[in-house]
Parts: sequence; structure tokens; C-alpha cells
Amino acid sequence: MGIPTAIIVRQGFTRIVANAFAGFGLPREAPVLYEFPTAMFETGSDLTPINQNIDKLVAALTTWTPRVSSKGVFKPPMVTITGKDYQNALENMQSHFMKNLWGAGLPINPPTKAALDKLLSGTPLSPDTVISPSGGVVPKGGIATVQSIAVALAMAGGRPEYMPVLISAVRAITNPKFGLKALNPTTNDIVPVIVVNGPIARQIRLSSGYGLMGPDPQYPASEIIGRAIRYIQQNLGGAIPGAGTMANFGGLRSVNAVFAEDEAGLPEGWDSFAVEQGFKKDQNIVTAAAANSMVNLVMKTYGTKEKNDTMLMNIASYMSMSNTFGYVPLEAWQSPSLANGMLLMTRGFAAALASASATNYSKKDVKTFLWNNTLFPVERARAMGQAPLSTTGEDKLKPFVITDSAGKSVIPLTATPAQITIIIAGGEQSGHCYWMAANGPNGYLHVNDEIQLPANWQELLQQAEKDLGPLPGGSIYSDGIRHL
Amino acid sequence: MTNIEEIKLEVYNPTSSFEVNQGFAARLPDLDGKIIAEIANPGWQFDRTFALVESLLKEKYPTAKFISYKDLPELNNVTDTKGIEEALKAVGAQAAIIGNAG
Repeated sequence: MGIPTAIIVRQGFTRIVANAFAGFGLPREAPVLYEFPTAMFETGSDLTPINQNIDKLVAALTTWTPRVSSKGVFKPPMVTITGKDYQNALENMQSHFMKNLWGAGLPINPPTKAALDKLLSGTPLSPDTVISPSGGVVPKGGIATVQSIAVALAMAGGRPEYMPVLISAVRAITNPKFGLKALNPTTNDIVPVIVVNGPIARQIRLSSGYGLMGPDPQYPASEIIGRAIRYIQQNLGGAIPGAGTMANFGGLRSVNAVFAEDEAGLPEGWDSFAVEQGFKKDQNIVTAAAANSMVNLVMKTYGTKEKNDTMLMNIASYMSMSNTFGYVPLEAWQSPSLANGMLLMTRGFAAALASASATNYSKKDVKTFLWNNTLFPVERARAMGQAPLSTTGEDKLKPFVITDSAGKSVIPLTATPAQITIIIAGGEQSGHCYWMAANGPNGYLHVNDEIQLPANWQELLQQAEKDLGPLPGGSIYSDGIRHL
Repeated sequence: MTNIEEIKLEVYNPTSSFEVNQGFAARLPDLDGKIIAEIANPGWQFDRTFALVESLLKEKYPTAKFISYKDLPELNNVTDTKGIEEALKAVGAQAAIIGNAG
């Protein structure tokens, strides 16, 4: 801002602030000479620590001196690990990485030059290509190059054919529209969700079916890519729990959520997530979204109009509690790309909804049904304390309130039904849906990226078949005929 | 004598490069007669702490002038400074106190 600034910081938060400053291109430190006790920030607290430490706030504006004053691009050198044999060297590497807070507890594969050379064969881009925008991976500001992305993938145990999806995912989540500067440090338990559409999903063994969010030796790409993204968030973006990210619970943060839409399970006339966003059916597209809580919804019975509508009402009741109650910036609220949660629907339930003999719903019909049945009465919101006033006393809820058909003031889940996201995914034996909420004050947006393949793509896929066996459901090349 | 440390693993540092393209603003000699802006990151008892900080600083620096957080845009997270820089220039702020970061 060009003027000296002091910050009233609670205990443990200085590193978050230093990370944020680094993302602005400042040195990685903050003008904080005292961290106030957490108890001071609670309702009706004793503010004596302010009286006792006011001189430190003054010093932050008058006498504080930064440790670093030089400018430029700083590149860390290679790290040399020694050991009496390979096993010992590997163990020493694990220790070194953990001491430097570069790992997360799981064993790390060594990001050697040989490992990187192999991974870099999976992209047409040169290693020095910068993927993150100006400011790097916020908030800490590490610059995401193709090389540093390959380092993360090497650590996670990735394969070269994962590079195209990973590069697109990093480009999407570091796009300022996505909201990583809020997602990475926040106390909200929110993670990037990467949804992949197009033929690449099956080619690289990304999960779209059973055990979608969990480990699967048949579809290993999902967890490995998600883990690599986590390393980028942590090592480049500064997201160390309690120091660079304040999420209380950190669910799903080990591997985030990376999966493919079950495009083969789309009912007739239902567009895929990528097509809804303006892409062509066979384009390989990554969409970055966000989620902070997930709930599995059991579809106890469906198949008739009455049963289908009852199940949708059931789903709507869970979705309605993810209302952001006006905390979302208005610009994000009104954007067609608003990422305000996604409903994962198994193919069987989707087929039942689309069935002409039952509800005969189009995807648009389902979105409209859910939107109408997630309208939240303003009266109830205020009773819950969800009616924020701005510091100038303005009613923040007002721009988000509409009047329903009964004349009541309500807040919708999204500004329009079209903004409700439905993705077909999960195992073929249906009976469940999955609501991934994204409520929070920041207004996350879906960001897309078209995946770029290298010239040697088919060779990489052939090698994958040799290394991992035939694709689940049949090899691409088992009878000499490509099945994809 | 054989060196028992026979294996070397050369690995990349996973933190990647970073750029420093600006320095921190120079500090002030003191706060006498200075215009000090209060920027709220709403929540965490900011209204109470700002009231106290302002009164304590006025005792020490009676000629300092304070621009209330009520008259400036809010800082919704530490990195979202949209509109704030312009507002600070408009009021001629010479220093700023942000509260509360948590």
C-alpha cells in the first residue's frame, strides 16, 4: 500500500501474514513485533494485552526494520542427500524433507533429475514455462513452473501421463478468479476439487466410479495428482497447518479431490459438466472447483415420480444448509461460474430422474427443482444470526433476498438455478448421491483449462499399459484396436 | 579408507523460486501529527480493539489524526486489498493499522 503498516495479529498468525506479503512480492516477513493471545479476540474479552503492548504497535510503524532488502528472483539450489547405501540415502531424504516441512508424513519419492526427465516427457511445455500468474502460488508466492510441478508429481509418485492434467489443474487453481489466496490460508476447511472431462480421464486411469474420492489401485491417478496439488499448495503457496493455513480440520487435504465425470452415465440429453460450460463433448477439460464439507446422501427409494421427487426434496434439505447468507461478494454471486457446491449424482439415480415413465426430468428441470426447494426464509436466517451487517451498518443480506411464490422473503442457494452444479459420478450400482458444499465468505468460481497433450501421447499410454496392466474394463490395445 | 557415505541423491528443492519485487515502506520517525488509517478485517473483536488502540495512541500522540475503519473499505482477507489503496490515498493516510488478523 506504500505506507508503513502495523497489524494486530493473534497468536500463531504471523506466518500467514508473512506468506500473504510474500505473495505481493514483498520479502517473506511481516511488521509484527507481538502476537496477541487468542483469548483476547473472543467476545467480551480482556483487552489488557493491548494496553501492555501498544508500544510494539507503535514500533511496527516507526522503528521496525525488515531482514531482507534485496530484490530479484531467488531460486533455491539442488539438495544433496548422502547415505551409506540407497536405502539409507532415501531415509535421510525423508528426514530432510520433513525437517524442512516439505512433506506431509507419507513417504516421498525422490525428485531427482532422472525422475523429472521422465515426467517432463508428459508435456509439450519446456520446464521453465511459468504456469502460475504474477505473484506465484498465493499466498506465499512460490513460482509454479512446469519443472516445479514435475517436482511435486515426482514426490507424489506420479507418471508422465499425469502431467497434462496436473499442469492444467495448477493453472486453473492459481488463476486469481479461482480464489486460492483465500482457500489456502483460511480457517474454512476448503479444498480444491478438480473435475476432468474428456477421453483423457479414462486414458490415465482417473476415477469416475466406485470409491470416487478414495484410494483405488485400478485408478491411481486421482490420488496422486491430488497429492501433487497439495505439495504445490504447501511448498509453493505456504499452506502449513497452523502456520500458513488455519483450517481447523483439514479434511481431504492429503489428496484433495480429483476425479472424472462419469460421462458414459449421462442420461440422454443431459450435457456433461464441461459441455454446460461451453466446451465440446470430446475436449479434455479441467474444471477447478472448491468444497469444504461433504455428505453422502442415501437414496432409499426412487423410480416413480413420487419417489424421485421425495428423494430430490431429501437432497435439497441438505443443500439448503450450505447457504452462504450473503457472505459471498456480489460479483461472484452473479457469475455463471459461481462455485457454490456440487451435487454428485450416480448414473442410476440420474437415469431414474430422466426416465420418461417417472419424472422425465432434464438436467435443467432437476436444477430448477433443487433451486426452488433450497430457498431459505430470511426470518429463519436472521434467527440463526446469519444476517451480517457491514461495518457501516448496511444490511449485507439485502442484495441476495428475493420473494418466493408465497410472497415470503427468501435467500436462494445460488442467484439462478443454472448455477447449481450437478455432476454424474460414483459407482454404477446406484443408491447414493454426494453433496459437496462450498460455503464461505470468499465466493469461489469455477475455472477451466484445456488440457495440452504431448506429441508422444500414444507412446506414453502404451507404456502405462505395460507398467500397470490393461485398463480396467479392457485394454486400449489388447486386440490391436483402440477402444477409446 | 573407504568413505562409508557412498550414495549421493541430488534432488530438487520443492519450494521453487520466488520473486521479491518491492520493499516494505519506510517507517515513520514518530506518529506526531500523522494521519493513521484503521483498516478492519471484520470479526475477532476488531471494533473493541480499534477503539482501545485509538484512545491509547491519542494519549501518546495527541496531534495524530485517525481515519476510522467505518470510513474505509473492509479487508475481507489478508490479500484482498481491492479499493483500499485508493481509499488510503484519498484520505492522505501516512500509516495504517490493520485489525484483526486471525
